[in-house]
Amino acid sequence: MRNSWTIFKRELRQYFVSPIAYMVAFAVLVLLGLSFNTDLDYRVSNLLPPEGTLVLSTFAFLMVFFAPLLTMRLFAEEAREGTLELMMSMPIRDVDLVLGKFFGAWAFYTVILALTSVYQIALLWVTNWDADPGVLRARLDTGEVIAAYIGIWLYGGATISIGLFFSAVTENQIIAGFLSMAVLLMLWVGDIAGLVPASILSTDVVESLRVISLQSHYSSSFLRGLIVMEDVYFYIALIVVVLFMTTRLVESRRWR
Amino acid sequence: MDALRRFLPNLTTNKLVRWGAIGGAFALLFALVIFLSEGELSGLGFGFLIIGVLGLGAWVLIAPEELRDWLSGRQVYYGTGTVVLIVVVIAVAVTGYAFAQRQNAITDLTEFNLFTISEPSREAVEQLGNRMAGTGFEARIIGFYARDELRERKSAEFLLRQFVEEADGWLELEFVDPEAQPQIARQYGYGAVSVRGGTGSGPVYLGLFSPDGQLVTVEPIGSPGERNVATAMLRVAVAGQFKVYFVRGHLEYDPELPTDIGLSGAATVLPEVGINIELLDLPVVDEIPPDATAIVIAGAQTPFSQADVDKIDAYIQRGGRMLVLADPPYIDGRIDASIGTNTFLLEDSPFNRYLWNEFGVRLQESIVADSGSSVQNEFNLVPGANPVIEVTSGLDQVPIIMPLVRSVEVVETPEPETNQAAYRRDVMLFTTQEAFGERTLQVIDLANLASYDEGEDIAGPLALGVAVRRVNETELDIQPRVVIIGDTDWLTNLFIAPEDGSSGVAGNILLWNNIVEWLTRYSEIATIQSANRPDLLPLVLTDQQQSRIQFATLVLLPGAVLGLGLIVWGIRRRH
Repeated sequence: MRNSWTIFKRELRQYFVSPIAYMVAFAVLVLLGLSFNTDLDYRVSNLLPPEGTLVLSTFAFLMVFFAPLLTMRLFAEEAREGTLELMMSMPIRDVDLVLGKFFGAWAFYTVILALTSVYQIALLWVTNWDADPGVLRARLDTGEVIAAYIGIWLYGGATISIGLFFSAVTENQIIAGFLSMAVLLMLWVGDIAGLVPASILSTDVVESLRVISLQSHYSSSFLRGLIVMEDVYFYIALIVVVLFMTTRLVESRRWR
Repeated sequence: MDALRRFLPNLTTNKLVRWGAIGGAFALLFALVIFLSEGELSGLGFGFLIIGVLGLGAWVLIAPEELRDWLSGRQVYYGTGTVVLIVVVIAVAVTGYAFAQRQNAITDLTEFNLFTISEPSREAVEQLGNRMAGTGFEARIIGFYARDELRERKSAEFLLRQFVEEADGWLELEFVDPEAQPQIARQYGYGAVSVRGGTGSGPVYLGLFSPDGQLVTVEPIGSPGERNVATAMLRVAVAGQFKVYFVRGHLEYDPELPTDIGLSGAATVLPEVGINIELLDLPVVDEIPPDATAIVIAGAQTPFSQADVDKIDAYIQRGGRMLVLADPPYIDGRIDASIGTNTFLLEDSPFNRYLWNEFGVRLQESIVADSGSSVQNEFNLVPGANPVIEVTSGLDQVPIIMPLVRSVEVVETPEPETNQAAYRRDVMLFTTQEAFGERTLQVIDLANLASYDEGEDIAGPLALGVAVRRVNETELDIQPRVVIIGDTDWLTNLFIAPEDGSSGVAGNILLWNNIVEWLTRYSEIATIQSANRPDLLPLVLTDQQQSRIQFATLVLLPGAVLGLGLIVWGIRRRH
C-alpha cells in the first residue's frame, strides 16, 4: 500500500504541474458555466424552481470526453518512454501501480468536481440563505444536490477506470484516448438504446445495454436525490472489475 | 492457390488457414451477437456460424501442429489463466449486482422525502389491504412503458416498489411493454381516451384480480406519483362504501332513463368514481337504509306524505345527506304539463313545512323570470354561483343553464333555540336584481307571465339554490347536509349527456360533481392531499444578483484556473 501511496502522490503532483490538466479543468468550467447560466436565465424568465443538479448532469456528459484526456497518458506515456518497464523491474506490485495511478486521477477529478460547488453556492445564496421569514422564497433541495454529487463522484471513478484501462492497452496516447472516448460514449448512449428499432435490437438486448450503461445508473437515481444500493454497487463493481482487468493487462507485459 | 501465390509470394497454406481461423472466430462472434439481438439464429446468423466452423475447422484439420503449439504455448497458458480469472471476477460482480438489485435498498436524500411514501399513503395501503384481507383477491400495479421509455420506467420503479413492500405480499409490481403486449394494454384501457380525466391519463394502473386470476377492477393511477398511487388505492378501498339512493314513488325523474328527459347521464357518472347507486321506493320502505350516503329527490311531481317526511327526518337526524330538486309547481310537470299537475312541495305541504322548520329553507310557488341573465328567453336562467362556498366554488366563471326554475326562500334570522338556528344556510345560486318570481302559475301561456306585478310577485334578486349544514360541523361523519335547488331540468341528460352525443353544459356537469362531492365527502375520503412543496416555488433573481453569478461562474472561476495553468506553464518553461 505504501507503494500505491507513493505513486498516488506522484500522479497527483503530475496533474498539478501539467498545463494540460489545467486546460482540461478550464474547458470543463467554461462549458459548465455556460450551461449553468443559460439554465439559470431560462428558469428566472419562465418562473421555474431552481435546479442544482442540471449542471452535474452536463458534467457527467462532458466526462465522456474529458476523462480520456485525464487518463490517456497514465500508462501509454510511460510505456512509450520506457519508464513502465523500469517501474516493473522495481519491487512494486502491478496492483499498486494501477491503484496509485487510478486514485491520483480520481483525486484530480475530485478537485475539479469540488470547483463546481460554486454553482450550488450561488444557488443557495439566492434561495435558502436569502430566506426572509415573511416571504415565500424558492428553496434549493440540498439533499438532492448531495445525492447527485455522490453519484457523479462514483460515475467519475468509473469513467477514469475505463480511461486507465485503455491507456494500458496501447502505447499511443491518442489511440488510448480515442478508444476510451468511444467506449464511454457507447456506455453513455446505452441508456437510450430503446430508441433503436426492435428489428435491429431485441428488447432483451436493450435492457442489457441499459444495465451496463453509465448514464442509466446515474440519471434515474442520484440525479433525483436517491442513493440506490444497486447503482452504488454498479459503479464500485465496475471500477473494481476494470481495475482488475487493467492490472492483469499490465501484468501481461511480463509474459507477452 | 498458385494464382494467390503469384500476388502474395510469402503466402503458405498454414498462413492461409491461420487467417481463416481468425476470420472464423470473428464470424462466430457475429453469429453470437445476432443470436442475442434477435433471440433466434436467423439466416444471416446461421451463415456466420457456418463460416466460423469452417474457418476454425480448416485450421484444426490442415495445421493441427499449430493448434497444438498454440495450446501449449506460454501466452496461451498465462492468457487463459488471466481470461478465466477475469471471467470469474465479472461473474462475481454480476451476481453481487443481482443481489443488490433484490435488496431494494434506497436512501431518499431529498429534502421533502419525495421518494419515501408518507403516512397517509401507508394508511391507504393498509386500508386496501384490510379490504382485501381474506377475500383471496390480489392487487397489481401495472406500468406500461415502451422499450424507448426504460429510463422513465426505472424512475417510476423506485417509488412503486415501496408501495409493494409496504403491502406485505398482496400487491405486485409489473411492467409491460404496450407495443409487445397490446392485448394487456387494451385490457387496462391503456392508450384509450379517459372519460374521467384527472389521474386517468398516464402509464400506471392498479388492477384487482379475483382468486381465479381474472382482472375484475382497473383503477387508473396516471403518472407514477405517490399521491396518485395512494389516491387510486383509496378509491379501490372505499369503492362500494358510498351509496346514493334515488328516491322514487312520487313520479320523480328516472335515473335509468337514457333519453333527454332522463337522469341516466348524471347517475352513471357515480359508479365510475366508486359511488354505488340504487333506487329507493320511499312510500314502501320502513326507513331510509342505514348505508345511504345520500339520497336524491329529483323532480317529484306529487306531494310527500307525512310518513315520507318522518322517514326523511329520521335519516337527517342520524346525519343523512339529501339533495332536493323541485320544479315550479303546476306549470313544469311531466304528468301533463298542459293541465299543470305538479304538486310537489306546495307551500303548505308537509315536506315544505319540514324543510322550513328544520332548515329554514322552503320552495316558493313561483317561476323565476330573469331578463338580466338568461338565454333565449327570460325563463331559461343562467344563475350566478357563489364562489366562496365549497359546493359552488369554481362555478362563477362557468355558465350553468336552468330552464323553468322556482325560487327558494331562506330564513333571514332564525329564532334562537329553534332547529333552524342549528343550521347554516349558504345561497349557492341566485338571480340578478332584474329577476322576479311570477306567482300566477295556474295560467298556462308562459308569454303572459313575464311581467312583474307589484305586491303579488316576488321581487329579485332571488335565491335558486341553497346549501345547508350544521353551524358547528365538528363530527363530519354524522352531520347532515342538504342541498335544495328550485329546478330539476338542469340535471337531465339534455344538459349533462345529450342523446345526440353532443357534449353537455360544462357548468351543469361541474355543479353536479360539486354537489355529489360536498354531500358524500367522497373526495375528502378518497383523495390524498398534495404536500406543501417550497422547492417548487419559482426562482426570483435581481439583475444585480444574476450579473454577480455570471461574473463568478463564467469569468472568475475559469479565469483563476486558466491563470494558474499559465503560471505552471511559465515555471516549467523556465526550468
